[in-house]
Amino acid sequence: MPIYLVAAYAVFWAFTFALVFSIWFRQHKLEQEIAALEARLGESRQNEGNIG
Amino acid sequence: MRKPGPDWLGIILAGLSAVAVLAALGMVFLYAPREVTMGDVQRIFYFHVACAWVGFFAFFVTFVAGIGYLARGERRWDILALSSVEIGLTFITMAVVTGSLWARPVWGAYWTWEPRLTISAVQLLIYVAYGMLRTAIESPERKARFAAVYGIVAFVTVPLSWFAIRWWRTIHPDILTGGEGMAMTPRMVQTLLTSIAAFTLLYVTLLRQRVRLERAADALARLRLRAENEKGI
Amino acid sequence: MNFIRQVYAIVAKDIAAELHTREMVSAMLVFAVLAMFIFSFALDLRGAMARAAAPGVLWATVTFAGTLGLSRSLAREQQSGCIDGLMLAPVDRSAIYFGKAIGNLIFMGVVEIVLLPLFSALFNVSLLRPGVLLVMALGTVGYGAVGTLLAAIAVNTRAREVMLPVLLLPLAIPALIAAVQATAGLVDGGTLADVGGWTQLLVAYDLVIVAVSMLTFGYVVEE
Repeated sequence: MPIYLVAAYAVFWAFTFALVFSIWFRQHKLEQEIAALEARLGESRQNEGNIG
Repeated sequence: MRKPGPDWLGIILAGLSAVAVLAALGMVFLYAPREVTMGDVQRIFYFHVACAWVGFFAFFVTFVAGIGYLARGERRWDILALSSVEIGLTFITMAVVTGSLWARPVWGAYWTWEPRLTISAVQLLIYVAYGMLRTAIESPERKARFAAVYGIVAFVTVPLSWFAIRWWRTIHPDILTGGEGMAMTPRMVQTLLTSIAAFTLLYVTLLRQRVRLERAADALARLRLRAENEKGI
Repeated sequence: MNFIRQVYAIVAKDIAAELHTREMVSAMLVFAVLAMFIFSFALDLRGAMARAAAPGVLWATVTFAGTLGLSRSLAREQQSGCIDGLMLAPVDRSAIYFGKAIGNLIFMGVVEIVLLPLFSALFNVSLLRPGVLLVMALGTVGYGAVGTLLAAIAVNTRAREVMLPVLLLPLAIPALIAAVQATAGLVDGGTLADVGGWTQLLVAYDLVIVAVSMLTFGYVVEE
């Protein structure tokens, strides 16, 4: 009997954490992309500065 | 480029949700009595019902968001719809899986056509169909529009399905389950309500996070477009 | 009056097109009969079991054959570019919806008219009674109404017609349950009063679904 109880609550935790982690992970990737983009923009601005 | 401060509302919501869920958990195992006929396995019931409720509520939010999008045409309504579907899908899946895990020891089969479990399964199928629809459309505007229409029509059938299924079960009760055989004492009701409240709070927290994520992705896409244009020039 | 003329024109166009080739109704019919046989073999339906299963098999068959017709009807529309033409003309969006829906209902109706005697014979049940005909009509109306809307959506997706069953079937569940239960009750010798609850549910489903489909159809076909 108890095995089903344990399994069910394991499901709650597993799914909830999976969702939370999924959102967090995608947020993290977005932040990385933003950083990379900022870096590239920063470079090209510098280059413009040197030429202009 | 100044960085935005910490997301205080998000942190508070997350904290409150954690506390609420832990409180509900405590009530489930320490406050609620041991059920007469089913024993401790019955304790699955509280979170199972809470998940089913959140799954339905999330669907309702998608329904409202669909109306909002068709009425206003603003992206934020679409963001709300898709975010709610993602969260709702998770909860309804949990509802179905835990319902199945509860059915096995209590009634000897992994599946019974018990009304709540069945309607959760139906909603799960609709959620999946909604997701597939979104995936099958390229144009973002069309995607949002069609998804909104489907969300509205689909949600409207859910109460009708609920009645049909209940009726069907009343006339043809499962040989296995018979009627709904569980005596609810006041303590159990309190535990159930707390669980539902806690999960609703959790849903709101997760929904907000998902919405912010989508908005950030939108902003990033716009930024990338601008960067490419600038460099092109 | 203009509205009714518009609806009539669309229905007439569809029927004319179908009379020309007859491909859609015949495909639906052949598919339905084949499905009937498949169910009979797969579930080993003989004697008492066949009679008991008849309502369910009937509606399952109608459901699946229906998706064929619905997809085809809307795909035809898209191929001919007809909807775009209709949209340019000052035609009421809901007129287009009703026109397409009524056309689809007529095609499904034709298939059902042929199916009912066939089923009655094969499954040894008396389906040709007024109560059953009413239930068939109510069920088909609801199914066709939402099916027309969803077919219009499905035809515009990457997966095209294949998308329709996925979208449609979960939404048809209340109507399916009600229709099967009502048909079964009638076939077992009950009167319409006996299955009144199910009939009412079908009517409620039809009203709600037609209203919502009509209101949202415009958003699907707009560009």
